[in-house]
Amino acid sequence: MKAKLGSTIEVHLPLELRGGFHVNSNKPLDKTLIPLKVTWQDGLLGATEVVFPRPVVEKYKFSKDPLSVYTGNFEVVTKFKVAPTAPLGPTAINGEVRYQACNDNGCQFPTTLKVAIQVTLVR
Amino acid sequence: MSPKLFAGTAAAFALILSGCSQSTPPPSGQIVFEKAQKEIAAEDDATLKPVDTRKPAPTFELKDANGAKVTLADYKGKVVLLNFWATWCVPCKAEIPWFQEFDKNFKDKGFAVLGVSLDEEGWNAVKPYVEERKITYRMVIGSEEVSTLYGGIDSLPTTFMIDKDGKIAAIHTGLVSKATYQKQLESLLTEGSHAARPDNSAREYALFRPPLQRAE
Repeated sequence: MKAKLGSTIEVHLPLELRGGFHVNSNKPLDKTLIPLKVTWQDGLLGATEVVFPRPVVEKYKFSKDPLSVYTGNFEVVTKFKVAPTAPLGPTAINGEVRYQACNDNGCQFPTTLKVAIQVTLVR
Repeated sequence: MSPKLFAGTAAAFALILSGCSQSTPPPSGQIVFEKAQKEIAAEDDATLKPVDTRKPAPTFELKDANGAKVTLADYKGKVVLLNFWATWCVPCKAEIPWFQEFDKNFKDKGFAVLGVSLDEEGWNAVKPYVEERKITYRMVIGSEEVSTLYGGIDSLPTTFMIDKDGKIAAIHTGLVSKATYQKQLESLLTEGSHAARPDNSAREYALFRPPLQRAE
């Protein structure tokens, strides 16, 4: 991927969840639930906005209240501002995806995935 | 308009996926929630393990909300429902009212519920949750060590039905019905004490424990 100095770029992060499982959305309806989070380290590209897709509000057999979740395939989009004075050449954007997944019977422990995106800075 | 970059190329995620013990990224190049690859398949079976095949429940020492030590020895001669849970686990939340009811209805008959929270934030998360829901049965904060002793709890809820001799009579991984729990605890309460081996060491459990009901 190439990004021009001083520009703003959008990075689309495709995520895939196995059938039958869901993760809480970035804004769960219950405050005790663990939201999906995508965070990025500051670097030559600084994250200015993280945009989550519209969640699905679903009812599950184990809960009397509906849950705000993501299932299947979806994308989280992050906007990055490229520093105008950054050195040209390859660099990496490092981040983390924090999620907590459940199916109809139970829940997995919260998990953090490391994300690294290689970007080449050009004039 | 900002240029769009799609991060989901195989090259972009090679590093991430190697961190997830995969040597090659999936064909789509997408991040796959690795932990969710294991099914949590609950078997709603009220059958208890035959008495002569039951293994001792590993002993542990944890603290309750008041800082008091809690061990399984405190429950000698009682049937115990040992429930591993967390505040973020919605299926666990569904079971709490059942356990409350069981604790209330059967505690004078030699039954107790012991909740073991595996919340990372410990009492900071658990105390308000317990107070808000007026949970009256005993609660402790678990540890990695206790989780390992019980076979490595990797999904919640996970519940162990322990007989009067301190042996594991049933294991439930995932949500099962209230009726299943009730049948089992009533059945265990009617059992006499079976000349138990005095040893309930974790070592023995580790060597001979049955596999938990987890699909790979």
